[in-house]
Amino acid sequence: MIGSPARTGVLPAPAPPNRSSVYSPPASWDAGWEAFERDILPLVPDRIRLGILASLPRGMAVNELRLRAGLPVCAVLPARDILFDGSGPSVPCLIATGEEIGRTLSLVSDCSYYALESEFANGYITIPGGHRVGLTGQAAVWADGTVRIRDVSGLSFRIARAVKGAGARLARELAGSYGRLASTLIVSPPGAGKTTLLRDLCRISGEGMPEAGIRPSQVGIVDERSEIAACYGGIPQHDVGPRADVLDRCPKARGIMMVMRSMGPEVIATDELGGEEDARAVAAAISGGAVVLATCHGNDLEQVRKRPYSRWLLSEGYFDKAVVLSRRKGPGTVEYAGDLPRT
Amino acid sequence: MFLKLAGSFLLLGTAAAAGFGTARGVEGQIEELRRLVTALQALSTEVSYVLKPLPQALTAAGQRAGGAVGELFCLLGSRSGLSGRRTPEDALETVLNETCLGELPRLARETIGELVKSLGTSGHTEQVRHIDMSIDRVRSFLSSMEVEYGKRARMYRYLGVLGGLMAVIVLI
Repeated sequence: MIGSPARTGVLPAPAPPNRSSVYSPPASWDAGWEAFERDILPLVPDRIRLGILASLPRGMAVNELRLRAGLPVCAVLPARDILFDGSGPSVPCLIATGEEIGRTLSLVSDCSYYALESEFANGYITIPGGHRVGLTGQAAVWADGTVRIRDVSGLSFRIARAVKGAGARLARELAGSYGRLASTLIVSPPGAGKTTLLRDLCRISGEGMPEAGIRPSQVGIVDERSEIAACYGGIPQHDVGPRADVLDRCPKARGIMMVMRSMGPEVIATDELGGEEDARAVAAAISGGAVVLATCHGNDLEQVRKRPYSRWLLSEGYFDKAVVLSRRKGPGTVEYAGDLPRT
Repeated sequence: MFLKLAGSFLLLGTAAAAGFGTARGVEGQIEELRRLVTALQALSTEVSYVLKPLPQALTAAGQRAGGAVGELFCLLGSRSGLSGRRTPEDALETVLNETCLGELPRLARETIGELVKSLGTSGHTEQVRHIDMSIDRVRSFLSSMEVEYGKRARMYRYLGVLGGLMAVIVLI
């Protein structure tokens, strides 16, 4: 039974588990095995793939797979991780070699380093299915300030999950005027599902949701880190709705102004607001009549308010609503959803 | 007498055909080298201007070049990268036996072998430089072969006809 979210008060102080504003995450939030088996395992060396398949029960939710040169392979599950170090009878010893890391990297980059230089510089690449492969190794800083990772020694496969319906129960709370969602800031620590929620809110905005009073709107997604739509070859790998224009891998501030000018979106979605440029672009977009759905790292709104540009956005009243997520009952636990308190 | 005449013509014809065939073989090598240059130029364009992922770039280059070289590039494209689950180097090993590259000179095969080791492993500028170096290498080999071909092709044809004549004279 979904309760009504709290709308006032300091947000969110550590809350008791039975608080009415806390929504449990949807059951599908942790379902990652299918994508893991279909998209990730074929890319890792046969020895490691077979070892994992032999030890992990089919259907187990896997969030991440980490390969580190000379170290045991690690599978990160929703509540714990499994280190394949041979410590138990059902846990084989799977040590990834540097050569295996290199071959896997070659495959995940589609043997096309030249086409992914900027992604390598950012430390991750997106693969089909929208999954993200993070890279670590020895960084080299060039004279022009760009960072390149050479001698890649660690790969982290983060399984992307599009949870259709993740935002459905919040849509009524977040509805604004003119049949659109209100400008909303989604706050959560890493891995709590803010991008998943944002993605579904994009879909809802594009499709419309009459029962929540939301009509279909043109949506512009500025996806600097390729996480919202997870484009591969320019095509969104996740369902972001039928009216979404995605500007992939474009810096947020510039991208927001670009979509405002070129596509005239009614709703703009962007991920992880940061510095002054981002804040000014969001302010310009909202002042220009667009609804902005954005996310921000933080455990609660108080933490977000400690950052100067986030505080400015909140105190000036650009955002009307807020959603605070946590992992307390698993990724996607809604701690708060409703009007944004001004203090 | 009639049998001798027929045999002589047959012998002469066979020897001449062998000479012309060998000359055509040299011509085929040159044609494949030209195709290789075309394929490498197309690959360079796909990499430098379109930034196409390597498998698609190889396939596009192969389709443009045609012939045995084109087939090789298309197969390399389909068997490498994310869909093929192989590096270009591994893919080359598997496809070399399946394509009729006998007409391709050894140096050209070596050039492809060396190029695939560097394909997809370096940045945009370096990648184009690697491909351009291979083009230069094949081109210089091609021009030397073209000069050589003029002499050798004529020689093979003469050898075929004259060899046949000589055999006829000796046998008669």
